[in-house]
Amino acid sequence: MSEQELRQKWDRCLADCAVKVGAGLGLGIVFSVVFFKRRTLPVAFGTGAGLGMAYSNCQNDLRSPYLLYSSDTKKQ
Amino acid sequence: MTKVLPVVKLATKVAVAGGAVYVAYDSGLLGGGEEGAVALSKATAAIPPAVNEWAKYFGFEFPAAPKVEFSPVDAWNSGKPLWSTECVMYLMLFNINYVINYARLTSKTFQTSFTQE
Repeated sequence: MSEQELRQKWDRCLADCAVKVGAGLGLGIVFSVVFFKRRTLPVAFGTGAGLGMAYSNCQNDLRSPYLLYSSDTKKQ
Repeated sequence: MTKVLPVVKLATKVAVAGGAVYVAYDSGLLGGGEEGAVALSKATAAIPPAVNEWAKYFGFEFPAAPKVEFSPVDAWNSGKPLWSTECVMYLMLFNINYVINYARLTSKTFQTSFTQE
């Protein structure tokens, strides 16, 4: 993986993390207001879920050159 | 009427929450990494002009947002010493040299050995 590719992946990871945390926070606020009488629990849950999604996406993105797909192994 | 009202209330709430989830999913905020990055670039391109327009409408102006040019790869230790690393190493060497020289000049053993010669 070249340095340029790594740079792009990290940039994408940070952007994705900002988007996911923001979306989780927003949805958490909506759920908190609508269903949970303005308690902070859904906000924390949404933010945590957003962080987890971002982490998972980033891990998948960084591991992608080393992943072995079953379709490739069947060809061999 | 008293039985219908709570149902309508709950249906409205579910519709609002479901609509929020649908909008977030539809605009690519909950998808993969690339979709998220695309959504962020779209938002950064669309939000500042809209905010400026609203600010003009209300009669005040925001200062220009500072541009952040930072990539974490630049902070990666690739074996090449950075300018800051060189500075720190130079200061450490200078300090060590200073401490050794100070100890030499002030210690009695050094002075006695010097006078014995």
